[in-house]
Amino acid sequence: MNVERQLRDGAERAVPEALDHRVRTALRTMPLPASTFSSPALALGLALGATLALTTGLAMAVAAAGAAESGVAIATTWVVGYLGVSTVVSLPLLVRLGAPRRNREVQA
Amino acid sequence: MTDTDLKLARRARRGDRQALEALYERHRGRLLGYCDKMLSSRAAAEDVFQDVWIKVMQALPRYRPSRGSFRPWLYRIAANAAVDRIRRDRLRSGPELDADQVVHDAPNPETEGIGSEIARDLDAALTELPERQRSAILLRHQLGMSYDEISATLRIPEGTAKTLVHRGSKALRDKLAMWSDDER
Repeated sequence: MNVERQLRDGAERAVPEALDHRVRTALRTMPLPASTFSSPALALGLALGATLALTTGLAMAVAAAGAAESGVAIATTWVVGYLGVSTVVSLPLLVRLGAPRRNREVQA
Repeated sequence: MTDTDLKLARRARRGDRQALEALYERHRGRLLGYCDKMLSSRAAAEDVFQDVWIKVMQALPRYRPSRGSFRPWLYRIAANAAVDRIRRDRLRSGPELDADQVVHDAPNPETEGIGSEIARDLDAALTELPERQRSAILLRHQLGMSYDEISATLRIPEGTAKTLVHRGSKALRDKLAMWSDDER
């Protein structure tokens, strides 16, 4: 007897009608979970974009309110500093967020 | 096949239920065959089969097509669900009725007739193998996966996959030696 051939020959099994019906019903009616970020890079991009928009807005407000020359300097320093800090903080966080997700895939 | 799976999986991730059903259609027969051989009873195999598709639905947003094809991902879910079920049954039944020692509880109508005895002995021999080895054997010989795919499915190095398949095949041949052409 050839074990490999025996296994190959019995590879497929007809799905009983009742079981097939139950699974199809679940596939058609169960709520699908919302899709998460497709990649950590996208999440990082969105976080940085939002931070940049907020900081620029705040800095422009400061610049408009204060003296023109020092206002621009403050705004530039603010944007560069805040971007640097947020990158340093968010990168390790995103890496940590990715790890449990990978574990969940294995457990699933 | 893989390209079609990937396209369907991408659509299913976006909430396309028709694509999800098409994936089910493509994989249902073989997946049930795999569950059937992994587990010691038909009822357990059908329970796990159903659970796998529900887990697929729940896990689809986390599936990354860029990290690998759909089939290893699907069978990773199936292998984990089957092993969980085997362990749960073993805990429930206790040492006097070890699930690994139980062969299929009902005759398989597809294998009745000529060769049905061989098929039953093969099922019994499979249930005696350690779960990971059993899974590797089935992925290789029943589903025709490459070692690369087995490695991705079971999250083990390719060398380990080869060893598991080689040792498992030898163990099966030894257990079924009475059916070999020389003996008969």
